[in-house]
Order: sequence, then structure tokens, then C-alpha cells
Amino acid sequence: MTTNAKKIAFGLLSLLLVAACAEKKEKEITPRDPEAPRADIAYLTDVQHLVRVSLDLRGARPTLAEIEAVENASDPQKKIREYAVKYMEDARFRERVKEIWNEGFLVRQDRPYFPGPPQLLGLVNEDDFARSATQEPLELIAHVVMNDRPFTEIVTAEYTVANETLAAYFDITRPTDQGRGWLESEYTDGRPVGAGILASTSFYTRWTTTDSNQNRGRANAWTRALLCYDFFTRDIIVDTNINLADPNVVNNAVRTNPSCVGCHQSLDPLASHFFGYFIPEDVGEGDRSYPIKTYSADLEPRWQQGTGRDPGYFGTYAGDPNLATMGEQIAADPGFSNCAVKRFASVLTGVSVKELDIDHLVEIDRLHDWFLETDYDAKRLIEEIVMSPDYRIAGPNALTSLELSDKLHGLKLLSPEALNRSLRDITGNKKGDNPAGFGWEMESPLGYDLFENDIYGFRMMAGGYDGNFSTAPAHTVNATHILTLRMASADASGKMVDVEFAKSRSNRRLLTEVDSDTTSEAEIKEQIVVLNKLLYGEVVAVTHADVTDAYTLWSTVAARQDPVYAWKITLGAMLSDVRVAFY
Amino acid sequence: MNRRSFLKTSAATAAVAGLAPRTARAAVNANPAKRFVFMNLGGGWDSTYVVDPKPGFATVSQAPGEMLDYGNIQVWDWRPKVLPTDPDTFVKQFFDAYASQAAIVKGINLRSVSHDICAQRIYTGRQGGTSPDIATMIAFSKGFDLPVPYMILNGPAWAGPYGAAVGRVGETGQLTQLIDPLNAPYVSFRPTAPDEVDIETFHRATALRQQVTRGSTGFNRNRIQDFLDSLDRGDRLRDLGKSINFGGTVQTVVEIFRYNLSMCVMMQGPGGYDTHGGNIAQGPMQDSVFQQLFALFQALEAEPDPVNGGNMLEHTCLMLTSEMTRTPMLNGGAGKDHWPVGAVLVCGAGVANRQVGETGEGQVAMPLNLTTGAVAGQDLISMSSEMFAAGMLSLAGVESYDFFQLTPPLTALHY
Repeated sequence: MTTNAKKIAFGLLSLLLVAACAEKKEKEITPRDPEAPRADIAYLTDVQHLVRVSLDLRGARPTLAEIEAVENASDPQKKIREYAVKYMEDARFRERVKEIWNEGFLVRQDRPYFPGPPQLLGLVNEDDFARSATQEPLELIAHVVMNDRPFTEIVTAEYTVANETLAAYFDITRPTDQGRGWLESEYTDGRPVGAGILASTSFYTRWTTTDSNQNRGRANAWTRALLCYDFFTRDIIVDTNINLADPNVVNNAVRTNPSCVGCHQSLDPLASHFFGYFIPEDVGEGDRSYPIKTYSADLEPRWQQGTGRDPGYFGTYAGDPNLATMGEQIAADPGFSNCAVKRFASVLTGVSVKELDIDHLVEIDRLHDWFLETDYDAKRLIEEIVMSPDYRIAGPNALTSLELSDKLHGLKLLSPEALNRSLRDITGNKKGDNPAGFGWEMESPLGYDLFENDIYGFRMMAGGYDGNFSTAPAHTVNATHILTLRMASADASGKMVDVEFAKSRSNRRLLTEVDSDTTSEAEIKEQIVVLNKLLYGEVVAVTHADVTDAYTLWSTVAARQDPVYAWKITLGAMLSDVRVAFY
Repeated sequence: MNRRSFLKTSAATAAVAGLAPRTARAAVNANPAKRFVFMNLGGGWDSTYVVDPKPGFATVSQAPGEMLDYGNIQVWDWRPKVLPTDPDTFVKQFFDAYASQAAIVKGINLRSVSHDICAQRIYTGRQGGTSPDIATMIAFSKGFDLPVPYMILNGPAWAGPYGAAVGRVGETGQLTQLIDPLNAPYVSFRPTAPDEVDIETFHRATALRQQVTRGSTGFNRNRIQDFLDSLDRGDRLRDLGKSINFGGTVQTVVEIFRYNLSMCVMMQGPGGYDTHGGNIAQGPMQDSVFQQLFALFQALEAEPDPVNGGNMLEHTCLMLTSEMTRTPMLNGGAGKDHWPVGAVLVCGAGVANRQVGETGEGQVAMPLNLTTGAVAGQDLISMSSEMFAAGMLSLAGVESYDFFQLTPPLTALHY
């Protein structure tokens, strides 16, 4: 094509795109209303609602200005919606998206699968290696969501994302002129283009296979993660008369044995897509050359000797099947979009996917329609979820039946990641670059954040999961959780009180009503009222028992020590209260 | 769910169930162990190496060795002595000392060859993520008042709705830092002991108020009750845990029991058992397991039990298993693949010394009598993972109906 012809073609394409955009803008999308709030359920107040939205979308509590904006708004729900939209532009929302999807993928690991590339040893710590090497698909999903792309792009993207470390691990070409961090990049080893996360190496290092498994475990890991469909949940009566150690017998059985065929006729064509990946096992540091090879197109046809079934997708077979065609098939599958809705809704409402399937079908159906209407816009879906009555459930009221009260998840457990982020936020150490603020980060060469690690840290002990021995977050507290919460809150409070009192009142985040030498009961109580609002979203009078108890704590400690110390203890106690553990 | 509300719920469930015809409940063990140790072997052990040998079977690849006959049970010694001066394997040492307290369970139908699913089934009886495991159910039912009813040193666990009863030591023993924040050098501010008392008073008061306003019933009530229970548990964990070295394995278990911190303990056994190639590695790996168990049993035997009298071993029961077993025959890589039949060693206090169930040619699970464990005679039934898990509850003196309703428990585990 000549240059002029290219220009004309480009111009026409631009016109078409502009027209398409204009058409899209004109299209008014009206979400179907959710079911009306029920009389037999108690819902969060507007301020409590804002606190929950803020913690869920960015892992931090709202500021006093944000709370007051909601309190003073003529339409508080509209204001909360505005904040929800704003919070999704926060960099911490990116982390939340990754956390939501790791619950399905379980790829996040504390140790990298391979040792770090030698050229980065000494420059990059173990935590960086682990995060880079294990979170590729999560980063791609976050990239799609943060950049407002249709969510289907996670399985159709013609790129992967890589940071400097991941690019050094594998055959990845990453732009060098766009700064640090995760950027759209390309594998150069010939793996199919257009398959998004399906082509990411991290998934295949997390979910390895064996000569006898023939990628079936991987296929199931994908369907579990992306379609919320787990073949293993089928109750299988395995025919123990089959010699499972003999590949020929197994290959015959999965085609002919009635107890095998039911699953394998669906599972095996999926598994046939993954034969191009070869993940070296147990290779010593000195024996490996970087970038590590993990894919070869020459190996793709191995399915013929492996599963023996053509690559396909639940009875659908593409003309020239590969991971990219599989990505298209997944993207077009309502099971995929429905699963995405359930994953977002489950984490945000605290109701398990299984329970959503049983008790919340109407709401999931409504959200799914909304997701489709918005062209798979994840942010708008999330906005719709957090503004729904289901999300705002606070608990039972006097009209609630016992049966219903067991199903009302009105208290959500604060995750270790959110605890960490919220304490960092209020102590001014959001990005980990303020040593005066809160943060339990190990020094190099390990570099682990103790709230996001289980080798040395407290993630599982504070309700998180490692993805191996524990594969789902907790929903309630235990003894180690309480101890972690208390130790962290006290430490954060100790740091924050000094920082706060070093500033003028107008520049403070929490202690806006008192100074370091204030001892007046009225002023102390006024400060406690503000803290109740800031930390719990509760608007209480100075005569409320919550205020009285906090004042009693403050005055008891002040009598023993001094007012500043008393604030360290009181604030630490308020930050580890039941209303922080659950929100 | 806390114990009080759980008991209410189960009473209600039982009352409703009582309207329908029900089979008679099997009697639970009258003299159960007071403590339980669970050891997990990750990957799927080859049961023919020790607990389910199949010499002379045409359809099973049996490693060389010799049978050790202890009367009621037989186990395989994969590396018998050649010279009189050769040391005995730890397998032999263990069973020479403790075979009379052991039951070997064979032929549990797991209905899957997936690591994850089989692990859920062998430990919880079920699958699906919300079912608690055997250790949690026992600890919740019998050790609820202890600081950490079920302590996980390492290894898998499924707490289900009873997460408040479960705790972890951490991979590098980081629990010690929570027990005594002075062990956490990165912490710059630590409340004093009087401060802690005042903080807890405040926490308790606000939690009780929240229970009235937001948690009067149901899910919310249980979460706030978990918080209140955990306040108390955290205190006692700090008090008792200061005397415990959480960095070891055998010694840590002994100390946890010595200070009555927990009723159940989970530990991950040495080795990785997913031997799709090089199955011969199972021998030395399993021997190292019995080395550790031998050391544990000896340590428990040497430890007086101040609560129950006698020594600790007299009141402790072990459950050793893996998520699945391995195929009868070797594959082309001299390995063995996944096999959907479970095998378990149960040993210690309250255990009936017998073989329970059997596998036949091709390591196929044989139907058994759930009361006697015999595979011949009357009332033979195929053993499911639910029956096994319910049987473990029965062995621990826990009424399995509360968790498994009408599933008949494997009562052959106890007399």
C-alpha cells in the first residue's frame, strides 16, 4: 500500500471509529433497577456506605472532607456514586482488582518459580522477583480494567504486560522508553497472539502438568478461574479397574469408559490447547540461561499423543485452533461474563460464589445484563454492585427471620491487604516511601511486606490465604488475627500521633479537635466523636456510650502517662476495634 | 458460628430431623484421646511402601522388602537388614514400639484423582470449600475453650465456618512475634501490660454493644461473638505461648500440649510424594516420616500429662495420611500416578488395634463392615470419605451426626 493509500485508509478508519464512538455516546444505557430495599433487612447509613466503598475500592478510609460531602449532599447516594467512580481511578484500586481475581487464579506466590535473572540479582529483592514472576495475568486484568477496555480483552489482548523484571525472565519485548512498571509488551517466542492472559507464563508455572495429566489440570484451572466451572466438583466414580499408570489404557478409557467420557469429552479438547508450553522443572541457578524458554510452537501438536482430542471448546471447534481462538470462544461465552460478574460481586459483597448461585440469582442476572449492555465495562459493573442494596446490607433488624439473618453478610472481614493499606494511608505512607509512616517491610534482599507474605509475615494469620495450603480468605477472626490487628494498630497509632501533633490542626488527618496538651473532657470527647465518624462511619453524640468508653480509656491512660501517650493507646484501640476488624 | 449458637442450631436441626425416620446413631468412643496430631504427606503417598503392601499381587508393582507381621496389622519394611549390624528402618522401629496401638485404614473411596479435591475429601469427608476438616470439627467440639483449639504448624487446613477456632504458627515461626512484640524489631510502639488490659476492656464493651445493635442474630452475631472469643484466646495465647518454642516440629507439638494451648495440631510430613517419575523415592521419604513420628511418640511418652495423668502419649492420637494413593503399577517413567483410594494410619490413644478395610488386586477398594472393619461377612458397604471422617469424629468421642447427619461412621476405628 502506498503512503497516500495508507493515509486515506487511516482517515476512513478514523471516521468510522469517530462515528462508532459518537454512536456509543448517544446510546443511553439505563440499568435495570435492583430489587428495592427490604423492610426486614437493616442497611448501612450513607456514611457507613461510603466507608465500605472506600475500603473495598482502594483499601483506605474516606477523609473527613469526603464524609462531610456525603453528609451535606442533597442526594447522598449520588455523591457516594461519584466517589466510587473517583476511587476507581486511584492506583490502589489496581491492587484491589488483582486481589479480586487472584481468588480465582491463585497465581500469587511468595516465592518466584524461577530464581531471579542474574543481571537483576542485588538490584531487585525477592519480593519484586516473586511479584513480577507470578502475577502476570493479574497485572493484565488490572491493566484492562484501569484503562477502561472491554473486560473480554483479558482473553483476547494481542499483548501481555511486563515490568522490567518479568521482561528479563522470559522472551518478552518491553518498551524501554515509557518508564518503569507494567507496560503492554510482546512475547517473541512465537506463542499465539491475541489470547491475553491465556498466553501468560505465570499461569503455567503455577498450574504445572505431568506426562500423565496431559494439561487437564490446567484446563480445569482455566475453567474454574474464568467460567466458575470446576470439573472436579462432579462426583466421579473412578473405575479402579483401569490401570491409570498405563497411558494407552487411560487414553482408551477417556474415550470409551462411561465413567470417564462425561468429563473428558469436554475437558480434553481444552487441555489440547496448552501443549506448546514447557515449564522447566527443578533447574539449578547455574544451569539456566535467561531469558528462560517456556514455549515452542513445535510442541503444539503433542496433543495428538497426549489427549488425542482436537483442540476445542465445549463442542465448538475453530478452523485453525490455538489459544487465540480459544480466547475468542471464551470471550463470546456468556459463562465467562457471568463468572466475571460473580467474581466481582462475591468479593465486594462478601457472599461466596456458591451462595450467589443459590440465593442471589435475580441480582446476578441484573448485573450480568448491565455488564453486557456496557460492553463489558468492569468499572461500571463495580459501580453498579457497590450502589446496590445487596452491597449495603448492614445486618438483621427486628423484622428479620432467623433463617434470613444467617444469610445476611452484614459484616465483612477486613483483609490483611486492606488493613495494611488503610494504616499506611492514615500515617502518610501510602507508597511506602515515608519511613515515619506505618509499614512492615523487610529490608533487602528479601523486601517482603509482612502483610502480604506468609514466609515471614502475617497474611494468613490475619485472615488472608497463600494459595497453596489455604486457598480462600477467611471470613472471621481468630486469635492470631486479633493479635496482628492489635500490634499493627498500636504501631501505626504510635507513629501517627507524633506526626499529627507536629502539624497544625488544619493540616491533620485525624486529630483535628485537640492539641498535644489538651485535657478538657469536652474537647477530648469532641475528638472521639470525629474519630467515630472517620474510622467507622458512625455519627454519634458526645453522650453516646462509645464516646464515653473511649474517653474512659483515654483518661485512664493519660492519668498513668500523658495526653499524647493516651492518644497513642486510644487511637490504637479504636483502630483495632470490632468495627475495624469487620466493616 | 460459635459453640453456643452451633449447639442451638444443631439442636434445632436434630429436632427437625427427628420428624423423619432415622437410623440409630452409632455409639461414639467412650475413651477417646484428649489430643490429636495430624500429619499430612503432600502429593499422594504410595501406600504399598508401608501401610498397604501387596507382595505377590499380579496387578501391583510392589517395591522389594519384607512383611512385618504384628498380629492384627501387617506393614511393609522397604529396606530390611542385610547384615545384623545394619540399623533397622524407622518404619520397623516405629511399629515395633507402637503397632499394638495402631489401626490401618485401607480402601477409602475418594472419587477423584485431583490433589485438591482428594485432599478436601480425605480431611473434610466432603468437598467444596466450606466444609471444616476433621481436626477443626474435633477441636471445635471438644477443645473449644482452649486458646487455639486447632493449631497448624504447617500443612493444609479447612476451617469452614469455624475459623475462630483455628490458628497458625507461620512458616518461620512468626507467631512468636505476635505473642511477644518485643520479638518484632520493626515495631516501634508497643503498649504496656496495663495498657493492654484497658484496651481489651474497651474492645469488649464496644463489641458487646455492636452485638446488640448490628449483631442480634445470625451471621453478624456469630462474627462479633468470634471477635469476643478471640480477644480472650489472644490473651491466653500470649500468656501460654511465651514458653513455647514455635521453631521446631516434634518439640513444638510437645510444648503446645504441655501448656494446653491446643487440642489438635497439624504438621506437614517431610518429602513430596507426587512421584509420577522415580517412585523409588517413596521409600526413604516415608522412612523419614516414621523417624519423625518415632521421635514424636517417644517425646510424648517421656512427657508427664499434668491434666489427664500418666504420660502424654497415653492421651494422644495420630492420624497420618496423604490426599490419595498411587496407581498399582509403575508407569513408563518408573513412577506411579494418582489413585482414587485413600489409606490412613491411625495410632495412639483410644484406637482399636486392627486393620480396617482392604484393597484387593489392582488396589481396588473392597467393601467392609463399618463396625468391625472386616471385608468378609455381613453388612459390607463401600467406604466413602464421609464415612471415614465421621468415623474419626466418633473415635474422638464426637457425635458425628452433628456434622454428617445420617452418614454411618466408621466406628471400627475404636472399640
